[in-house]
Amino acid sequence: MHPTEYKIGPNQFSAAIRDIAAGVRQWRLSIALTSEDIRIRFKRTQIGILWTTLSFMLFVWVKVLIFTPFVTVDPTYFTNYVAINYFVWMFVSAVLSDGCQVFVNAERWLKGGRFPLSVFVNVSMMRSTVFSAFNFAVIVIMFIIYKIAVTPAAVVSLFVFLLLLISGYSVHFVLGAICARFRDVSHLVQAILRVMFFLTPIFWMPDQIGALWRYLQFNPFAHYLIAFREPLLSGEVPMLSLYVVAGCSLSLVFASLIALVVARRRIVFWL
Amino acid sequence: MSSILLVDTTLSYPMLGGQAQLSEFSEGRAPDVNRTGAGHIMIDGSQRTKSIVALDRINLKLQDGDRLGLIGRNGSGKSTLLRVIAGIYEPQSGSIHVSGSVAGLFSAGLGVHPETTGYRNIILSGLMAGYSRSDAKDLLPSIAEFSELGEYLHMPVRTYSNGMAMRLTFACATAFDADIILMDEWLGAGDPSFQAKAQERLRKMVDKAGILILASHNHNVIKQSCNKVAWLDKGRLKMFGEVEEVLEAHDRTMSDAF
Repeated sequence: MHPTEYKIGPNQFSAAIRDIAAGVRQWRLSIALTSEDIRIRFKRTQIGILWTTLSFMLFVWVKVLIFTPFVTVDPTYFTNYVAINYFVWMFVSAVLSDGCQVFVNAERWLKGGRFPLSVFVNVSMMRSTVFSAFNFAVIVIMFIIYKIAVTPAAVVSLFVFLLLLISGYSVHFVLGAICARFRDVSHLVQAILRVMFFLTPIFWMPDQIGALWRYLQFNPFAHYLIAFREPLLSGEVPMLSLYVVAGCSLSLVFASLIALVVARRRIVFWL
Repeated sequence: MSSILLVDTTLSYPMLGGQAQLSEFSEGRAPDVNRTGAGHIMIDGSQRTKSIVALDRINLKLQDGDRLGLIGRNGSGKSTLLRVIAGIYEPQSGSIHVSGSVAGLFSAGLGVHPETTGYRNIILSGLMAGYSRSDAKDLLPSIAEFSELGEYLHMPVRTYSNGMAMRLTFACATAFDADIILMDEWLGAGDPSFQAKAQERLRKMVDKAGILILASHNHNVIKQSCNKVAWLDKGRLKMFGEVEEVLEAHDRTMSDAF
């Protein structure tokens, strides 16, 4: 047993940093809780987590089936286009909706013992990442079937996924804190997500909708999608989207620090 | 070396969503809480949020060997004080310094997943207590033996009877030694034959610990286990001292009140 020591004082910034560091130190607990969480979700199923892969495939297939008649591009390209977009969207929407619930769902833990808030954020992020990995398998298989050459630019996609992880981690603290205090917000986020699914170029292409894109391009989700997709699919690096994604990630990191400084010790009282 | 130091620790609970309208009470006013031992209800300047003062400027210093009994009426702040020392609630003002690992036995059963096997639940409790996976595994045989669950440890906890689940919970809660033990009423579990075994195990764990804080309404239990008593009233530390002295003063006040 390692001895523990804690001092509760007025410096909320160092307490916020300590919370994040303690979450990293307790990685074993985070991994155990994540694996327990996933096990419970698929308890007594025959194929377990492969259900994520299957439902992802089914969704992409149906979208391609319905929307291919409306696009002028090559159907093979469009299939990959939809698959990659939906892969990113699944991660983004999972992170946003889980982020709202992250502390509310951890109520029993947070009221039962001294746990860093970041442990529950880590668990939530690990779970979404594991699901994403199983979805990504579909993209890998499609790239092999359609013989799509991956250029060195794909490294940029990897970097964008890293930014997605950083954004997702940060947004958990922001939304988790706000939704613990104001329970309406998680319903608002759900409503916004449903709308954004249609306003984000997931199963349509920007040049299809003409002038409307002038406004829709201010949707940051679109840039996360573009920045991840283009280097992988067409080998090009969309600099504008990359800047937007980097800017959003940086802002979210700041926002998460503010959320931790302001709300960290109050959250348990709001549960 | 374990120690606990509280300086002017003050804690109030905000009441969210608990906006009871006064008209809901038959006489148009809420029953008077001042006659009970509960903390005061405060309404902040904007009159929008109420809060309950659960701990009011508590000063407390404990070190190795201290066995503190907490007494006081319902709502006087005993459980809150335990949770503040456990680091669950951070005080709004004042400071707190705890050194040593803390086991809060008031949350026994925390993180027990009904869908998971007994074995995996034991490992999880170990990780929660800050043990490494292999250290937690080393304790498995002793927990298995003590809980008398045998083959059941390979089955999901949801298949257990209530008594079996309680034995597992108790075994987990008392398996991982800590420097500071916090208890909300003395813990017990199981049928009479298991009860004796459980008491022996809990006693061993408590004896090994540096500091014990036990909140209880049962003065006999406090006399048995504690060497100091703190008397809480309306969130204030009304009296702190030797067991007999404080319990006597407490009993005197209580009999005066009736």
